[in-house]
Amino acid sequence: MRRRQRLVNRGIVVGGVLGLLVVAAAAFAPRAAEAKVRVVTTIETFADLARQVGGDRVEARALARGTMDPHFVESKPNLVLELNRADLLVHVGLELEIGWLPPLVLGSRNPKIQLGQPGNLDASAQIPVQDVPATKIDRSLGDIHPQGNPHYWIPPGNAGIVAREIAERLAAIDPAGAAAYKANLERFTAELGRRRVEWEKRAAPVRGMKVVTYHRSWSYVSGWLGLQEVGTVEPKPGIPAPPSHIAQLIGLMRKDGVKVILMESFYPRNTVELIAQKAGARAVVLPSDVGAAPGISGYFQLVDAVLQKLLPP
Amino acid sequence: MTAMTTRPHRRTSVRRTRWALAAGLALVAALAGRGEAFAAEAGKRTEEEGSAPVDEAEIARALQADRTAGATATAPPAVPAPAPLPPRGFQSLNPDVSGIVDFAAGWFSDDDGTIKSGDDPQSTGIKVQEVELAFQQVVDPYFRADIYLTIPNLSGIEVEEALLTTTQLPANLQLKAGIFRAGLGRQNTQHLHLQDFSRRPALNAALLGVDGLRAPGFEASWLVPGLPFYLVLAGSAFSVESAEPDQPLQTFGGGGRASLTYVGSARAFFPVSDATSIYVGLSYARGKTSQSVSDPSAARPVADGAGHTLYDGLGDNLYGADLYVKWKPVNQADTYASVAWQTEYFLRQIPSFSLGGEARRQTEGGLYSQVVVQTARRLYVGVRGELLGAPAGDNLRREVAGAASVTWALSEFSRLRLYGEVRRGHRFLPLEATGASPDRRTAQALFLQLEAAIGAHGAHPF
Repeated sequence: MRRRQRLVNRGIVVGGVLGLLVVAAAAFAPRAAEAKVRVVTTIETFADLARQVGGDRVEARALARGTMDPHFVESKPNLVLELNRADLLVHVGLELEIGWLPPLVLGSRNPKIQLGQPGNLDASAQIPVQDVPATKIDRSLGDIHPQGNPHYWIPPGNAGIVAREIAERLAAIDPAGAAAYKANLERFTAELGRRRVEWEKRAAPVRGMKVVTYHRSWSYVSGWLGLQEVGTVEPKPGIPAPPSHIAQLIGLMRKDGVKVILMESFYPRNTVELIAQKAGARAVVLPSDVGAAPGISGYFQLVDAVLQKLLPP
Repeated sequence: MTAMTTRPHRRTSVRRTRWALAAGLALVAALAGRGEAFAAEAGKRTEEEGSAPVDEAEIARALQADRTAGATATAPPAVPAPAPLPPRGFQSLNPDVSGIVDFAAGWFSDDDGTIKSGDDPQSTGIKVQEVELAFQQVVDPYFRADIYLTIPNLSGIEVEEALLTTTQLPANLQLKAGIFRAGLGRQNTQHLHLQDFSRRPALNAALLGVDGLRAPGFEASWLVPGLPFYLVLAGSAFSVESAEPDQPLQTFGGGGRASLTYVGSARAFFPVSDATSIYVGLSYARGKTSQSVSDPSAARPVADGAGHTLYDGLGDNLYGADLYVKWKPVNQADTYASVAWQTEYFLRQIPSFSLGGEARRQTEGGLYSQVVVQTARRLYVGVRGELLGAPAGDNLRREVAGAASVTWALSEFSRLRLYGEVRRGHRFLPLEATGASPDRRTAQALFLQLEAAIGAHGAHPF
């Protein structure tokens, strides 16, 4: 009988705890939809683009920091909370985030941002994608992206496409703001056009410059600025370089007179610095996303910083 | 005897009803809370709609606006016009298919000396530890499906998991249905290729059976909204298979086909800093014990001629706690180093039963703790300690084990691992309740494991 009493007591305690949790949840839960459209992006650049076209109607946050390798973000449950509250998820697509985003989206329990919903925007949809494999591929080629190169967001043409996609999707989700999004997009696109002319003028000296890159993540920038990529430090995507490859690369750089190695801030620098030293080149650590270095607070600052690093000192 | 066997049943059903009621009330309260929010939201929406009724002229204007939006976007040279793009590769509605193989070659000093999980190498020699085939795809706008078939130790195909998960439920709810690994602690939910050691810790096999708690069932889980941290509460019910003959006492699976096993859990995540994360879980399960012997005449004490032991079919509870702490700096340019510490504890309690006419209760538990340090980009070193029988009981004797592993990940998709362990304890003998003290012995194992994955295998949760 005493045991029975104890069980009843335990039941009351457990019930009480559950009840308290429910009450707490109800008390803390947002009462109704806040006025702002909550945009969650995978990379910081897209969060900035969403702020540019969304203005004060949106609140944009990124899951990954600009200092992270966007291939290998850890799918931490606190990111689930961000996605749980999102009205719109903007991701790079082309399987860049395949290793971490899908379990977060499923775990978010947010019907709005599931695949196929208006709140799920694959920003690559209108991008003229490069490096799409034309022949049969397998992973003997390394950790390749079968749908093409996903590192497309830096050239202004592509950033403009993404901004337009975000604006259109925001208008679909929040029709009351359609006019504002359109106006913001026009303003952003005009500014982008002005800056593009200026950037291209500034970058004229590097046109035709031969470069080696760490990962195949600068193809779009090279295409835009006319850089000539002659090799990569990684022999294959995601595969660390064996000494034979490095020796070969140094030889190639000497022969072709390559003076610059481009890499992101999240790759280790020792090997690259060794190659640079042996080949008489310089290692240029380029920011690849907003937030990758102090002071890069938005897309325009990102491109400015890329050009500043790229131009000979 | 009759009274003895029926009374616990009645008490169990009363308790179960109480639990079900508590859970039901909580769910209703939760839904009501959300319902209010929905109502408020809907009301707001109607107000908005009321102040600005949608008419055809407006739709026409919007369509026109869209058209002009497209037109203005094409005007500046900065952004190319949206144009039909060539298809990117071959589109297919086939599910993502992947295969994972685990080969192991090695040596046990005593092949029968330890309790083994179904996906452990079973004996000395060259082994195909496991072949896993996975098929994963979104079903429709409402479900996704994940099917994992496994062939452990070439012993025939098994369904490791085959489950549907909802994607469109409101109020932060999610349902799972099918056969799946119960959300009971951390290791129980993970497949072999997520293990950092070539063998799983013996804890789950010793308490829950060779495959851990994996059974047909359903689960409802709720992401608690409005908290400043991640908290998921989950409740599930399973029809657990009864234990194979001559196995350690299986905590659940007894009580006949209609008897269900219930699992409840709470998991919370705290990102202490960018680099450091803490993931904690508490779980509780209740059901009925299961145990049988193949030769009733050879073993005592046996409850009946069918080989069920006296420990079979007793109502019991399982309490679990798990902790996962990970430190990994976000920028790998500084360092590739990371540290992950994982600990789990389970306690099994059989509140009351009768053995030889004597009323008894039994509490048995065990834990393991492991640390895995990433020392270089592709190198991981792990150590693990296990303590079974803390506290010890008739069905879980004291056993202490230490293991170490060195893993070399050649790429994201293949890895080579060296694993060694030393284990000291009472060799498992079923039905040791006679009081005879079993041998204490030491056993070692050394294995080289090669693991490879092909195809598109879905990403795993943290």
